[in-house]
Amino acid sequence: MDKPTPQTGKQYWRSLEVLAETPQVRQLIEQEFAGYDPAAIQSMSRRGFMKVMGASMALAGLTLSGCRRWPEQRLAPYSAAPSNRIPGVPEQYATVMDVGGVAMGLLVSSHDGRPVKVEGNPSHPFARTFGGRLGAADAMAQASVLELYDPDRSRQVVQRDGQQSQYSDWEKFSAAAAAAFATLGKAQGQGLAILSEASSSPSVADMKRRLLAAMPQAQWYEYEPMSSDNRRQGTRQAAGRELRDILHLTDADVVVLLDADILASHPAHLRYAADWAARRRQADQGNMNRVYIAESRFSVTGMAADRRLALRPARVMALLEALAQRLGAVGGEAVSLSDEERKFVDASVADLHAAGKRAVVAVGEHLSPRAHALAYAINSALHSGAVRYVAEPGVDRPSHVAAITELTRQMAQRQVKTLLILGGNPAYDGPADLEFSKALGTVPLSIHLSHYDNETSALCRWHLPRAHYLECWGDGRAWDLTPSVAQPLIQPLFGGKSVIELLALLMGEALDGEQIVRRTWQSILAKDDFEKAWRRVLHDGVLREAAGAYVQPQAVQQSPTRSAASSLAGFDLRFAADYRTYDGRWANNGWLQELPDPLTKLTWDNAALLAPADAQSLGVSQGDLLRISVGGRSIDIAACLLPGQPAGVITLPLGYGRWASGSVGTKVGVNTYPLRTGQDMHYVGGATVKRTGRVYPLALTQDHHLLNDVGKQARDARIGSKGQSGLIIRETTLDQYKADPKFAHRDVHGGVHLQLFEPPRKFNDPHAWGMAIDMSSCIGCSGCVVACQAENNVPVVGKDQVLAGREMHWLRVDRYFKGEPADPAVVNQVMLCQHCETAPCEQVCPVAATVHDTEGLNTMVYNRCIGTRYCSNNCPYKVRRFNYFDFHAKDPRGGAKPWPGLPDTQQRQAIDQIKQMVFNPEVTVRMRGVMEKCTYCVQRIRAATSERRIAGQKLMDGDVVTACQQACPTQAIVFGDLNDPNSAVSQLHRNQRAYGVLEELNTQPRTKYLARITNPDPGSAPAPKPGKDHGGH
Amino acid sequence: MSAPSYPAAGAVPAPRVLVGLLAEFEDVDGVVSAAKCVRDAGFQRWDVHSPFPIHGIDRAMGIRATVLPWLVLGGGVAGVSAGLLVAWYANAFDYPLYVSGKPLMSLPAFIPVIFELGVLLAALTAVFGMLGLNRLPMLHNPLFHSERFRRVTNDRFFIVIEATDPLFAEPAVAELLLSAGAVHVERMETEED
Amino acid sequence: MATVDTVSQQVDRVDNTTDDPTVRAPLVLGGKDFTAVTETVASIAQRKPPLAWYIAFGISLALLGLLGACLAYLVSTGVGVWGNNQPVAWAFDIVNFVFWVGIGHAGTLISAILFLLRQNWRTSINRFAEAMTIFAVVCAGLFPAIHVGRPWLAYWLFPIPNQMGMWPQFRSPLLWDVFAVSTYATVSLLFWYVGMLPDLATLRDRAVGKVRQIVYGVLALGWNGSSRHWHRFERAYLLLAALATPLVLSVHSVVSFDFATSQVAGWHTTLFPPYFVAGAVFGGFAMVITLAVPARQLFGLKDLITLRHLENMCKVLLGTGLIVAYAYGTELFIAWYSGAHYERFAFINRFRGPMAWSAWLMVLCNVVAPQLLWFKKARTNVWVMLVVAMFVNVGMWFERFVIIVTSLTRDYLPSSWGGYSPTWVDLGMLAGSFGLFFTLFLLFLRFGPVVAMAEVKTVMPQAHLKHPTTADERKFDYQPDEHHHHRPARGGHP
Repeated sequence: MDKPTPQTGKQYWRSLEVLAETPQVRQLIEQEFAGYDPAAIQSMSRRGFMKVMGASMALAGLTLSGCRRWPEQRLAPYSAAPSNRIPGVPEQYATVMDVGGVAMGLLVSSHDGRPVKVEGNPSHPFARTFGGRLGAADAMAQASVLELYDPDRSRQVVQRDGQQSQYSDWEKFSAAAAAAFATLGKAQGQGLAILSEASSSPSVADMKRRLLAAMPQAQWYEYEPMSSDNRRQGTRQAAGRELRDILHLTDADVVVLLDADILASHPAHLRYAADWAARRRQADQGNMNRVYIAESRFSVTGMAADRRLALRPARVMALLEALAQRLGAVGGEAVSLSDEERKFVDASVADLHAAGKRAVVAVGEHLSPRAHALAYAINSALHSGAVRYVAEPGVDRPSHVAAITELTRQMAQRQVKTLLILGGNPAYDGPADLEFSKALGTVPLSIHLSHYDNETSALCRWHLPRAHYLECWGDGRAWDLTPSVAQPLIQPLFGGKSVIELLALLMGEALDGEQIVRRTWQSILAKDDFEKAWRRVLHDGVLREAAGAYVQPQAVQQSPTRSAASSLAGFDLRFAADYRTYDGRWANNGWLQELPDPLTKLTWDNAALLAPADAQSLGVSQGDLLRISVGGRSIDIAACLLPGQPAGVITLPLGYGRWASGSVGTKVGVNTYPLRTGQDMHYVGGATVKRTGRVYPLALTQDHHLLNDVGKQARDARIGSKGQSGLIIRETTLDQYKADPKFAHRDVHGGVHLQLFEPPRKFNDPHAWGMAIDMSSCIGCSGCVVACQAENNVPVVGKDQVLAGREMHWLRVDRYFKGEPADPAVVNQVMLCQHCETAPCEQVCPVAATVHDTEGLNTMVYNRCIGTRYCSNNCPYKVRRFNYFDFHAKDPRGGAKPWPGLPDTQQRQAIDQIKQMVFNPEVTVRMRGVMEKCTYCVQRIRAATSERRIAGQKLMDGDVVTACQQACPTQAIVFGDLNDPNSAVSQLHRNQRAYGVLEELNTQPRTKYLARITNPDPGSAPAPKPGKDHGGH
Repeated sequence: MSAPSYPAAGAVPAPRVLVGLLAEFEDVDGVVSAAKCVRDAGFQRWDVHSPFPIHGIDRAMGIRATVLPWLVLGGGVAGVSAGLLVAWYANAFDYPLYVSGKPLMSLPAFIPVIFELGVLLAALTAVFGMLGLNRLPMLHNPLFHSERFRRVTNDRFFIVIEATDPLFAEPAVAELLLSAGAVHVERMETEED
Repeated sequence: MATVDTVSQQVDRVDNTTDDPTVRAPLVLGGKDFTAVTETVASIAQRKPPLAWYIAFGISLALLGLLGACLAYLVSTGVGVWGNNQPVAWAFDIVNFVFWVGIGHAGTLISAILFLLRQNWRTSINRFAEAMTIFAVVCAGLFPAIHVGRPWLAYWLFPIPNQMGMWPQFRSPLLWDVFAVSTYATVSLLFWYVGMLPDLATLRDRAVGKVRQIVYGVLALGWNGSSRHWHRFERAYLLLAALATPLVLSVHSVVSFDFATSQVAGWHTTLFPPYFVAGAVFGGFAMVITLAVPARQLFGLKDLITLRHLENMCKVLLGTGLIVAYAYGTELFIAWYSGAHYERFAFINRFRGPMAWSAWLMVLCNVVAPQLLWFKKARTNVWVMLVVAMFVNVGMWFERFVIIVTSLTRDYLPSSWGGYSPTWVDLGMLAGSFGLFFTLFLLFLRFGPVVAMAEVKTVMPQAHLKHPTTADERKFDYQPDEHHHHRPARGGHP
């Protein structure tokens, strides 16, 4: 596909006057130091002069760019300064991002007109963390700001004709479109088809209504590769109408999940994670919930579950049938279960019965309609109070698969004269058997509105740049249909248009985005006093009272179980949205590409996730390139061994192997869509696997070196056996915790701390910062990793550097598998700078580049650092990160190149100016050769303290929120002042589960971990530890 | 044994000043015994030159022990104090920083630097003290006019008695040296200045 | 000098490696008198060197060029061009540093300690060894300077008042290194140069051609062999030796503090200072043998650097080798005895982990190979000792590699365990550092007094009074029995 090279970039100017080049300006420029009086210096004594010079040099030294000029940025000078805006003080705006037809409530911080940090909206029901003070956002939402400043985003209208393609502009397009749509209008829209990605936007729905009203013959289709249509169908079977289930996990003592990754993949996962964690945190009150999961992959929810059973997809269904029968939700012939399946059912049924109303069963969105029907039946049989339902919107549309199948058929039959594709990328993620791309080529006039000039655009006559959600007006509905308004934080950087703006243009409506949205909301908001309500919605970012009404239709009797003879021949392939690139839409996002997968810790790739047992029988080892074939289609993909992966199932994450994604995402990983047909969108059986004999390098951030026996023994001694404490991981079950509340402080090695020196002071003046991380509520979703990266300008290093072991994340999630590879338990330990009071890193720095401040922060002075890396060697937690190259300037897909100029000019000159706009101005951008690490978000501490000081108030607990804490949906991370005995962090430090990792080294860490408590049913609980088994002895 | 080579009278081209007499010896025993004679004759301004340190020559010449060791001791003390001072001034006084919860004045941690500075200054004193006391470098020296003297760095031994010595009386001194076993005696002269 | 000549006939081509304590073996062979010694040594600097010298010099220059290229690439791109990573933040850079510093120890040790111990056999080899020290320290000094991420700021390691008003952090072992190594470099240089003064004077007095006369003349500072000068000279030399001895011991102790005072299991071992010093002497002597054997062959110094000198060095090699072996054993024992999990694992991992090959290679080279030297046949066979010395050179490099890299690959948290593999730049700079070393060394062989002539002369029989007159002079005497050359050496007679 040939892409014309974009025209040379914009001219940047420092002020309108300079641009205008007025004589005064020239004069000013000529006499460089305006108002400078030589006498002042001459009269100055030598000492005085040295003082001044010293001071200015010191000031210059404070920035990495030394005494050079700041990087040039495009300034947006105000013609009239808006009221109540203080330059330099970030402002937050509420908005929403729509992914797959569900809107996420966000709060975006804008620095002087530049949105730089995306966070969750605390007042949004599906973003607020439990207790409602903070708002969580997942990794993808937080990384979306990087997409905003992605230089690869399409900048111009492109017109294609066969192989020819040239840059065009909106004028040319609208002229061409106007003509086409005029004729279409006359023909009632005959021959016009619209393919839209799923959207929850009321405005889009409104525009759709208007368009179809104007052109009744037009066809409107909707397609999403990740679809919930099975639930719609299932609930129709079960309840006679299409429903959305909303779990209330705080009310659930027992949760039984079947292939339901409700904590990470579900559209409502943030809310679910928050509610789930609320019940985990009650471990100390002995009031924990218990989660069972039977799944056909290893999911984040699986890591967090108390009892987990890994099964083939067909067996998951069988298990559900059995469960339904045992709970009297359905009749029919008994399902034959394996031994462990039966144990699982027995245990869960017993618990479900016991819990009654306070129990709930949930199934994965992708499971068959019958599964959803059974789940509904079970929950109504249980009279579960932990699940509510709202009516599914857009019931009139066909399922996504049916829609795109029908559209392709029409295109193939030349019935579609004009095709308008609104977002999405069907040429890449459409069902493989449809050959959508081939059909698309035959459409006379095809128009694609998209953020990137991508695979689908390449096959369309017109590609139109789409405005990023942070650039345009819009709206959306949350999982429970709560509506929100999306407001722009910045002018479209590349002149893109939103879906509604494009529709308006095509329908000849002279309306801009804001007008369209306001028009739509006239019907949503109270007519009287619209302005006031409108402003409130903009401020809150959500209209709580307009949430969907709960409905509870009677359960329809389900057809009895029919034993489906599921063949176990060959492998089952399980297609799953990737935890980073989702369906591929985030492929060009460096933050997400480099985010380690929560389970495999794989970066910059997807892989065939394989059970160790299967790997053994196939003679496959980590990184072997496999040829996976099914139904005459096949792909070559590297094997990645995943303990806990069900035997006989290979999980194939989608969203990789893009061929027109951009400089970051193109040709990263392997495209698994070719194996995915319309019939089998989620899994397919009977696949064959062959070794190609080739080996593929997988960039893992953990276990990248396969452990030999001595390594395994040592690791097990350190992390402990399944469900038991080790040297660095302390955990136990709820029952054993009740029996031995002090368990976290047993087996501590070298407990005696011989302090050779009296510390010069206590590090508590005026505050004593500390952090607590609750391993019971951490689910390892890795949202905190991206939050830290976005907040602290952490660079993306690229696959080559991850392979070299040089990833830069200040905060990592250490994931430890415990027990047998077939049925492991997983502990996640968020690891970041522990801010030790006797920090080993400080004493070894020869230039005092890392020292302690009076509040207990282990500070890192970048401009003083010369990069001996000694501190990193001496850090037992290995949380320090070194800039081996100028990573911001390095192309993540290419090697580092020599820089001929002065080393510290590289930052300014080699980093793309659009990319520079994503930098958080509060945080230094580190240059090559400098060590860096977690700072406890010192910039946030300073901002909060000075804000209080200016207001003449005392700092309150919760004023300072670190980026990781902010993003954590389960509130596993708590930060605050240890001087305040009532602060949340002080209370957690006093908790008897609190311990310091490696505290036996007398590092006296300020970060404490709360030992992990799990709540397995007695049947599956690991045997209590025999005696005092010290890992080391 | 060649006779002392006196320039023939009147054959003096330019007026030259006699610096002293240079006597050459072939072996250690010769020069040492000669040195004893010169010492016993009570000369003050004279010296023995040899390719290597002759052991026993100090006695033979009556050289008193040098003050160098005391200078070196001073240098060492200065170095130690300097080390202590700079470590204290830098880390405890001028720019105090909290490092690993250690005291600002962490003496044990400063000892290596203090020790090294002590050794450094002592060593520098030893070398430059020695050169200073020896009036080195001295690239010009009337001795270097003598062709024969070149062998002083190879295998020959010399005694020089300077003309400025109160007891210096040219013929007598020459006699003394020859009788002491010199294989050759010559006048050391330089141009009048 | 009839007596001298007859004696020299007798001791000519004699085997001076006798172990008979009643016999004092002559340290200079070939019936040399003072002139002959001067001739042998000084003529090296005056003759055209043999072809082999040009070949060796060419190779060294090529490697030096490689070093330059790698440096340019490193500084312009970043230390990422090396294989270093997290957790292995130090690798070849610091391994090479410790290796070269270690080499740099034999020189001063031979000069200073053997001088204080009145080991006269040192006189023929100390100049060599000192030169080796200087050049090794030059190589060693290179790496700490360029291993930092921002080499252009490396001067911040020195307590120079600067625009930031900041000072170095005197608690850091790296700073101790800066002071220890720079002090060591300075003192070694002075020691070397002062010792060379009389010999430079010899070269001056024999120099032909203006340039050489001026250069040697200036370098000799006008040395004229005055006994009053000799008196202060010897005193200064003695004091330097007395200062250099604790210095040489302290320098490698300080280098070992980089690891001994750290938190890393496998590094923080109180045994390190003596263990590192012994290792340094061990490696240093191996390098001296590696250099001396070919050099004496090339430049006909067999009569000055005799088999006995080489044998003595082999004995030192064996002795220090045994100390090193003992240290290895102690490390393992203490790791087990400590009962500390992390400490134990560090050593189990060292010998059974993924990089065990390097540890076993180290044991083979440093513990097994030197055992050959128990046998006199091996000690007196230049080829055998050369091979053993080579083994030790390799082994000592790997000792540092094992300590630094293996310990870092697997430390406390299994999540951050990693591995290490060097890049071409790592290998290039290692090879390049040898280029730098040999370039300097070959230049010295070509133009410098490779053997301390004046000192050799003092240990020759002719240098001593035949008939000391008074007892007090016997007291001053350098050699206990001054009549040894009248006693026929064993096997000396036809």
